[in-house]
Amino acid sequence: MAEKKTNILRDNPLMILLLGACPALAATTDVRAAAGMGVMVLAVLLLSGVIVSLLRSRIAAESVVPTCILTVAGCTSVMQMIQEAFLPSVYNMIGIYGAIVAVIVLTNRFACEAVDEQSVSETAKAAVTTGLYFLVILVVVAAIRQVLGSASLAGLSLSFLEEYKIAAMVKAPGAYIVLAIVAAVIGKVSMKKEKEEK
Amino acid sequence: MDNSLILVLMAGILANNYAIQNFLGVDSILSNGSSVKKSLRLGGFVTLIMVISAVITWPLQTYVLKHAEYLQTLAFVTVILIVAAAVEKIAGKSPDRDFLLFAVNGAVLGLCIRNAQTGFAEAIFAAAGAGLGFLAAMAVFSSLRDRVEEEEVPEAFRGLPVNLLIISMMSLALFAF
Repeated sequence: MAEKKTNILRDNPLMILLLGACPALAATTDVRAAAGMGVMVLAVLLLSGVIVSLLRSRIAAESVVPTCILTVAGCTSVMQMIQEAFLPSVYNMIGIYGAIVAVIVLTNRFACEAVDEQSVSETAKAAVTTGLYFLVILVVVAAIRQVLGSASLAGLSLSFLEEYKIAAMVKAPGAYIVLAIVAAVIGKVSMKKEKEEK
Repeated sequence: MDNSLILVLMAGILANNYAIQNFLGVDSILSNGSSVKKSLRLGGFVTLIMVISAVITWPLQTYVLKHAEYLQTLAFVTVILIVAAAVEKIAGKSPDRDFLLFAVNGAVLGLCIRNAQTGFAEAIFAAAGAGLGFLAAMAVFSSLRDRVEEEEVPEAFRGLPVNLLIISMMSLALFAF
């Protein structure tokens, strides 16, 4: 097995953003979709982390990755079904990206790291922190993109911005640019924090 | 050969590029820090995985999963995982953690899910197109990233933000198609 990389995600919002870039870009055209996606990722992280860490002693070293990937896929399916049953509008908004949660690096790597964690409660704590970071970032990015790109926010239209819409914001290039700026702000803030700690 | 199949292939590489325009698997590209040469190799493996997965998942979807839609995600991920492990075995290395995490990505799963609604020949061509598109995106991205002089970039933008800006320019270029 390759060297163990523990706690790579802990308290590192930039890393979370990097590994979860796919849904962070795709589900941020609408704040509701972003919130739904964020909650889904949080739930998948928590569920798969707890399951993997309960099974930790029974997973053979060479089958860690396949076990984690399949656990995450199972948890994602469960969350998709729950979402389809109770929040069909969000389910339709997210589309196939709901299933993609099963294969993004963020969820899979988190599950793999849960194998090396000390206890179930620690894994659960890490899952909630990671998920909340991700949820907040997603909602912020979505709010910026939706206000600038389609002059509305979570279904409410902001008519005074109607003439100043930036069409590229709802398309792929705008998504990357907004995410880059948000990532730079996060990087700046965490750099400042580090300097203060020193 | 049918012209529409060529169109499907070209769309996968350019206009409908999975990683750049649809964000599928972009996390794998961003988190992979290897050189252009290694990126080409990895992209080639992903293309192979896409085509083989498409060959397996299309009949699986058409004949089995249409009776049990809710199993789609789990079944597809299982197939992709097995194919990825097999490809790596054939390629001569034992499956390690990072390759599987890289190869089982959103582009492959997204392709399999989208292919479910098309015909078999179209599915194979879409897989080849998506794979080549992914390969091209990876190679171009790693080459551009190598050319960015880190010292010239403002401190806060180093790392992920500037990489995202590189991809945003690539996606602007693809808008032309």
